[in-house]
Amino acid sequence: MSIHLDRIHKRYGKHAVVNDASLEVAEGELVVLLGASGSGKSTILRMVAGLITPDEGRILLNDSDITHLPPQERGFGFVFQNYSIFPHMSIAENIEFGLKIRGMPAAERQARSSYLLNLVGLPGLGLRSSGELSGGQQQRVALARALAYKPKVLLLDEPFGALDVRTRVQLRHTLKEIIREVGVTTMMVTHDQEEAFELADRVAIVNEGRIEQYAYPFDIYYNPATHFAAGFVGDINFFDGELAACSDERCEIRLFDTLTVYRRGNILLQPGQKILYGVRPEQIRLSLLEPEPYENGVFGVIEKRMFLGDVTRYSIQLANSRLLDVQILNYLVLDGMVMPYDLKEEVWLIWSQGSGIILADYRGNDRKDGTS
Amino acid sequence: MKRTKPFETTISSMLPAGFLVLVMLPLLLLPLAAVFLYALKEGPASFAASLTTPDVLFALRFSLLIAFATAILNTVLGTYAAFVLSKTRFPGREQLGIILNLPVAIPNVVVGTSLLLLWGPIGFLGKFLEPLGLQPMFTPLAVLLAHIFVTFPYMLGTVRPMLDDLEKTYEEAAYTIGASRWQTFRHIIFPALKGGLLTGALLTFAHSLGEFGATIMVSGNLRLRTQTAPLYIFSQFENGNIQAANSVAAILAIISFILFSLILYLAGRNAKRLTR
Repeated sequence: MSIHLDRIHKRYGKHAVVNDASLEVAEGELVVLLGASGSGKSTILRMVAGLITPDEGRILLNDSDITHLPPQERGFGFVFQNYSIFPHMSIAENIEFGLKIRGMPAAERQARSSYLLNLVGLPGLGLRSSGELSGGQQQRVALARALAYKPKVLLLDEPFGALDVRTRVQLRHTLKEIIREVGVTTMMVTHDQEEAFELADRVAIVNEGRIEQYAYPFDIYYNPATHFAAGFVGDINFFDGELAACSDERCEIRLFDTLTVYRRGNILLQPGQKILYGVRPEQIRLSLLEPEPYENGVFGVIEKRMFLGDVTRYSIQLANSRLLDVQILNYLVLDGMVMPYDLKEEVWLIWSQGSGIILADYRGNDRKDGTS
Repeated sequence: MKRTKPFETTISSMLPAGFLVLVMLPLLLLPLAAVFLYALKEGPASFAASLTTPDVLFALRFSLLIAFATAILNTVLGTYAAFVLSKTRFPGREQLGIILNLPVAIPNVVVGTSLLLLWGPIGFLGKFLEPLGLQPMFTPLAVLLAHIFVTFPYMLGTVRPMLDDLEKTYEEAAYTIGASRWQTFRHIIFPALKGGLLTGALLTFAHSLGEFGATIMVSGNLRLRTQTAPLYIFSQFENGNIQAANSVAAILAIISFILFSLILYLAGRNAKRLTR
């Protein structure tokens, strides 16, 4: 089943929680709505479920309008952050509840619930009560319960939000496998970028009730559409800049009036255009040697150094006192492929002319100068 | 090896409890004991005899019947009120909640008086009923009305906090699974409230059984017609018939004791279930 959100709006009083959101989820696709808390992503999901009605816009399921259909008649599965396993029912009764309501005979129900318990990795626990299960196990039950009646669409609202890190990662793998096996169209809400990238076919970045970008994880990361999308997914150094000259092969960009960098490719913008230029910390390397002509480079002094396990993060002060973050894989240093650097050491920061993100549509007022 | 506590520690740890018993002895325990002693002073035979007079049998039966009816009616009314206050949003919700709890704060005698002023023969509404030959006061119906009024907040007070604590996502989960509103109530909400409903009903029953202030005002204290057990006790005492009064008092005390033990047990079990 495919889902189409067509210009959805939702207001509470004067506050627009969801603002002109459009989204298409293809049959069998897993789409993740990624955003901070209060961004409106859960509201969007609840409108798809029918728990909230949009003020404007339409929700289509395979081209039929379900905007005002009550949740009972949608036949969707919904998994809540707090599991919501009915406390006075056994695990099996929880899973069979939707089947019982649909009038399925007891023998078939039992077969289905024991199949689902196997599927979610809890074989034989049907007679337990929710109080005897851990959080991760309860969420597995909630998933089984939502899948029991073969939902047309599966909706997951921060399903791992209440779990500890290890359980979260484990359950993430299980979820991916199950969804692939069942093949159900799925929408999930999360604030965790790693979770989104691991699970999603496509990711929708939600900010202040708007969908800022809807794309494949690779494009979200390397071709972010907006300043917010670029900053929300991974870290990035942003600078004010201006396009100096453009050819079909590359653009010349002037950053804070002193530094010139290049970006390969056809940028499709006019010279003189004010832009935002971003480069991610792991795209930069440190060197004592000057950059080659085909590279970008700037000279600076190491101000801060943080060991983070897999990487070391340097903060480097440029000549005009702006800071730039650089991230180096520690194993490269241990293997002797890259030199370690000390605080206050003067180094070149070098990055490829093939990397660098250029945003033309940034809103200049909601952004700090220098690193963001 | 089992270690025994030093004798002094045992004594000092028991002191506060001992003091409590000492204080409560004349306040609570001795009067209760006196009721049973007086009831049985002239032997079990006369105790039994004073319990089997038509007046006593009627009063006990009437009291139990009224308490039963009150409990049932207030279970329905109180649960509905709890639902409205907990699950719907409307202006004045807080104020309505306070007003519905007022019967706890108003002295029962005042409740009785106000019912008389409304429904009595010269009452605000009663004077329109009088010419029609309808007279709700000084009838069993009046007693029932008074008891519903006085015990209304107990059910509400038990069920509402449970509804407030019940996660909204249980309902939402049931809706998305496909359950109608009624199925959700019947399969999800009602089972979660069951313990509370029973506790509230027993609480209502127990308070109705012992109600005196409002009943004496609206019932007219008519023997074999509107006389409840507490009214019977009062009347017998006034007439100097202490043994008869104490026999019924002893029975009421026993019933109440059993009821409240049950309530405490159920409340404890609910609390345990909720915190799990």
